[in-house]
Amino acid sequence: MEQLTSSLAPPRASPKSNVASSSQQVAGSVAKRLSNELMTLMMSSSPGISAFPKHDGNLFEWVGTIEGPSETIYAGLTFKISISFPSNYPYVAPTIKFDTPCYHPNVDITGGAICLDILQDKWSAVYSVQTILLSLQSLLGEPNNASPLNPDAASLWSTPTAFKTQLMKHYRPVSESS
Amino acid sequence: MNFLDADVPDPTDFPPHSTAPGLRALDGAFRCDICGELYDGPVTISCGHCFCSACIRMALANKQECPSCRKSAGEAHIRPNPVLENVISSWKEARPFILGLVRREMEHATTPQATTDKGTVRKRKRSVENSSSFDTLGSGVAGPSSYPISPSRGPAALLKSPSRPKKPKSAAQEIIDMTVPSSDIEEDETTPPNLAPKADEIVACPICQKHVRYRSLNAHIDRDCKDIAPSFNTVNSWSKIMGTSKNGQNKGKHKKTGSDSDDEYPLPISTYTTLKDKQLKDMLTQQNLPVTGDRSIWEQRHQRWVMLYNANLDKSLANRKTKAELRKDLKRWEEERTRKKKTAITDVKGYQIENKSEFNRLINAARPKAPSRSTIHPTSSPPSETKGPPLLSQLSLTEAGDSIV
Ligand SMILES: [Zn+2]
Ligand SMILES: [Zn+2]
Ligand SMILES: [Zn+2]
Repeated sequence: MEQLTSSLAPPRASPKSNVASSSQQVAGSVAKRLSNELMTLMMSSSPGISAFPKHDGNLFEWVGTIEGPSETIYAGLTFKISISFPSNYPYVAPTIKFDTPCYHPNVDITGGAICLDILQDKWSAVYSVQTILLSLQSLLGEPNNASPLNPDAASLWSTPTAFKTQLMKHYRPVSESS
Repeated sequence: MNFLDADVPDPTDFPPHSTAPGLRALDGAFRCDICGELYDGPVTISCGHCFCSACIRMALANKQECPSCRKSAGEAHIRPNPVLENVISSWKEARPFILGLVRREMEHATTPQATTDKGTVRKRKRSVENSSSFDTLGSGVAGPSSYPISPSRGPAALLKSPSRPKKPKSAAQEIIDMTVPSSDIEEDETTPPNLAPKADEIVACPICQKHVRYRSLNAHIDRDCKDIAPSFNTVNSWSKIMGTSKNGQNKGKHKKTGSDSDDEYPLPISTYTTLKDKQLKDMLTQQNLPVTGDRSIWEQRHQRWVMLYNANLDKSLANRKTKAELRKDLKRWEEERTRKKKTAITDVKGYQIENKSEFNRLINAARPKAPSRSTIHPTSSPPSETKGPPLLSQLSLTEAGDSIV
């Protein structure tokens, strides 16, 4: 049996092309990807969302904030969330939960767990913290009432005044010091 | 912490579209949507989306679909993209140079007396653009578009094509020598011998320029220029991969530095659950990998190795790493994973002080550019199914910075 002995492209014209690639680091480095994401978040003025690594120096743990979208029942409220990246991020979704109690059909009011498809089976490696925060922000105004994590909230959704009462009863403003 | 000290080259290094049309988008277009870096060993999958080979291999190991469009995809769909690889190599060289030019022009433009100068520079640029586009138009007539290649045509006809690009002459030339079923050889021998090269003659494929034995050319073109090593599903061929070469297989191979890099087959993906500890350890030893750690570490180590190894083969030879370099990459990857579990810093106060200034520095660096930003980094653009949220009062970077202090 003879075998394939080729490279998959013709030889390079310039031997210099080696120099550029030799300093390149391991593809898929999580730290690199996370610092890229932090940079993107800071450089893009995404309205109403932010995220930074936590104070404890663990770059796999971030805190984020989401402002409720205007013209929704969450307008004017700010929610703190925590983001925990697995070691095989971005191939596996980060774990996200609300730290600020959030009365919402798809959010667990006590634990802060979120039911959102892109955080579970619809996760893709091209999604980012920014993607998630924007999705969560739009989820606030447009819940999926078909599969609620908080059935009470789902049933109250159609009566905004009663919903708002419950929302404000659980809500605690984000303190700057925490 | 290196996380924050890291210099992060990204498309926003370039000015927005209004100042430097296309540059930021161009730099973004050269980046993999999984890792955000300039493509490293770019490959295309069946839907047409491009990723670094290592990135898509990792993604497909988790889910058999394209991360960008969700069309089903598998390892078998991975095709190297040598053209894009070449583009990236050149862009890496050009990028710092172009950034320097842009910076100089921006400085020039900000000095008040230079306002009129800026106009002239722009005008001159535009006229250059115009003339070059005429050139392109002219040369385009005789260009690749007038060179129709039908894969159904035989290799003899293709090779006679007058516009066939010149075969590159290089000591590092490789030769594709695919195993050809004997029937194919016979078929080739029916072509007129005075017109066609001999069966064993090395020719450049008229489509991809790879060097192929003439008798393998039809088969090569039938495979859309993608030459896949035969699959290994027998014990016998597995031992071949492991470098216990027989029958003079190494003859004519391209030698890389290092004694262990004479094998250019992709490694098969293993199902580890069915393997005994001893088998797994042997597999690691055969790849010259350590057998430290527990069973799950062995599996991860071997899986990652196979992935790095195969991704490396998707690069052109000039860009490939040696096995020793790949082992170093693997080691770094393992170290990062273990470090993850103990990253908590004991000196919290010191860390806060250190990083407060670092955040402020980053924020200050970001501030002048942020308001004029007009394009979105491809990695960060929301997926198509994400509905754009209504606009809110803009959270300023200063507020974002303060909230972390
Ligand atoms: Zn990549
Ligand atoms: Zn795709
Ligand atoms: Zn070809």
